[in-house]
Amino acid sequence: MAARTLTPGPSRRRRRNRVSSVWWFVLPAAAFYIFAVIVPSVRGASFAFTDWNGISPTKNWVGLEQFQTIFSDPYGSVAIRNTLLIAVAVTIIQNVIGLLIALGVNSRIKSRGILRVLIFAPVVVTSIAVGFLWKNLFAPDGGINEILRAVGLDGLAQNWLGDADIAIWAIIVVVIWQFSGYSMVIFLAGLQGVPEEVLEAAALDGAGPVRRFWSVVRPMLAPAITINLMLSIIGGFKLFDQVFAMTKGGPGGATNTISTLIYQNAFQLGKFGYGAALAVLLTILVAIAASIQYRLLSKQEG
Amino acid sequence: MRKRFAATSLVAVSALALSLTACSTDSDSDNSSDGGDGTTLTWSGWAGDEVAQALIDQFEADNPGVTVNHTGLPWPDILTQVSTELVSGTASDIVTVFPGNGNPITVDTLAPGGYLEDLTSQGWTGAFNEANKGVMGIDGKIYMGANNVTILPAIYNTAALEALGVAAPTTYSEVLDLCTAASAQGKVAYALGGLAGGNYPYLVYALVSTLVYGPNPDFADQQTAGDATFSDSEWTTALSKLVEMQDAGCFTADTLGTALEAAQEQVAKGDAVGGVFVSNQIGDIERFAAEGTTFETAAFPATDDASATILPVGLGAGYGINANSKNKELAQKFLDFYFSAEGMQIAIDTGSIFPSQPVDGFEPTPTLAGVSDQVQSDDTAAFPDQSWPNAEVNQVFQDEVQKVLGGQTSIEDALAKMDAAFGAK
Repeated sequence: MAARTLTPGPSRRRRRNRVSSVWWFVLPAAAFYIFAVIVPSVRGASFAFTDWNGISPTKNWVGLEQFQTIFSDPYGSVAIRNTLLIAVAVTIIQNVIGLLIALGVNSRIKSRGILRVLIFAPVVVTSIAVGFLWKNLFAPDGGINEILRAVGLDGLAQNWLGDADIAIWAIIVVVIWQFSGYSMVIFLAGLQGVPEEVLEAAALDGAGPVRRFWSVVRPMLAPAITINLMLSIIGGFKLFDQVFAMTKGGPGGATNTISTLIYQNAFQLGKFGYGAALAVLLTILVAIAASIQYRLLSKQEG
Repeated sequence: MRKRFAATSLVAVSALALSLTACSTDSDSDNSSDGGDGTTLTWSGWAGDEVAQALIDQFEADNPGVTVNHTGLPWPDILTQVSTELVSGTASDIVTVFPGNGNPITVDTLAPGGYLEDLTSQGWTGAFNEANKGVMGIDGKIYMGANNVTILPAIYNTAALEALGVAAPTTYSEVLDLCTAASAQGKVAYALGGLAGGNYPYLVYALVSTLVYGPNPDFADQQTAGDATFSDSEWTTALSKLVEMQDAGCFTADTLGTALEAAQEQVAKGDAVGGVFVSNQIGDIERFAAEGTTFETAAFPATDDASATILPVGLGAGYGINANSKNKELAQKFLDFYFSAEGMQIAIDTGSIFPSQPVDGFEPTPTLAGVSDQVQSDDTAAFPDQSWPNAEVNQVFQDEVQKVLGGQTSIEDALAKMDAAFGAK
């Protein structure tokens, strides 16, 4: 503030006029956004405080009862645990794999163009189709077990989707398989921005490949890391399609995520209020994760 | 500052006005049909339903100038789409409705909200028996009807039975003998898909029909009155027999990882001798099978008294009329046609349905011949979930049976959870 009074500039009134005139340009878009996004979201969230069944013309206000149910409902606690596990596991593994592949195809290997296309291909397939594809691959007599048996690893053949302890990891593997290519592309874009001469200079100074990556490439990749972590953690929290296609949350509810529970309660069980409460919880979780991450990484970038 | 406040307020106020005018969920808003002109009928039915198209062709030919617009919805989206449209007042004139209870678009869920037209006075309702009428409405009124029943028999691959030198079991001991004989030949006796959407709930339905609902058709009413529970009933015997069969090696290995299609294919190819499937899944088994493969059906026994075996028969999904329809007369005319002898015949010819009421000259498919007499007899019981008070019981039932098969829970705990869901509002 004090510094600003010392610097001569446009008069304050003109600047304020410019600010307020900007609002007139925002008006149409803002009106539409509030109408199409904000109002329905707030209305939807308000159902979380009712016992509405999604059909009945009447609904009663029940306060925070639905939120208490989430934590007393055995399905709720399993779904929250699964959602956190998926978000953390997918975020870490997918980005490590994506980064390694990006570093690989960013080198001068001959087939890098075709490799990039192949690795990115699963990203453009619809998630629900990917889910059904892997549901067949993971079948007791499906492709994965057939390959394991063919190479003599019968002991490793599993009941992938039927074993409550393994099924959640089968889903995590599918998500990582599908989206590592997406992380790769974003890392590649970041790697394109690393100047060749800086790397050469570091090499001349005697830095090995690991040291070059850590001291030169990594800081320059910070924006790409931020975007990738944000996208994968939010995607992990919201995961629905693959679970729905592969296990529908089974066996015995062992692979439910918050998203599949929302769908199940709101649309199949007629517990719209409970579904809305779960949706509000999910929104809060995503917002917290995103803001923590953004602060940490923007510090690092700064 | 003041100007900015004014602009911000204007944005907020205009947006609010916009949203208030357009975001109404009152059920008296416009109907999605073309204004109720008496010539265009809208119908929300099933995706890929060949019967619907055949019915429409005939109805339009009988009524020149009338157009029927059929929207085919896939399972399970049909549940959300139809219920959302009814609530928001944008539903078709004719909507898919399930009998009894158990999902968001059943007669028990929709009728109390006033979303369905009362059809009690319609002539076609007279052809249904009392058991069916009981699940077609509430409070003695009728709000939906269906032209088909779903039968739940055990289906056997005839060649696979002959290879074992046995006939389809008529007692529970014979079932266990079949399991032993099949295992000795390296085959599965009963294909069981335990993955979500598989046929695993049906075997339990078959067992409880004989053990619980056949001897005591009022079991669900007694539960509602607090005079009976799943835990203190023959349900325990039914689940014990499921576990006993699993231990005897009756089922597909890795049951819980096996999808419905895989189980159907096992029966089709003879890798499994048989399986318990609903009748509308039998067509898929026949499609998976090689040319010339024959199948037979029998009621699945739960005791050693063959005459006590009860066959589960449930009224299938059908249709009701949207209470806010502007085309009620035309919709009723269409339902009259749907239930007429001509309409029923079209459904039998194009959809291989098993009719929900007697139809002159009806011949069941050779596969269903083994149970067709019993379907028309008193030795049947409705599917248990049609009498459950909410959809949650079914969800918990399916999850808990998976856990029982996976050895993650005991039969007592599973049934206690089902009791809790039954009592849940």
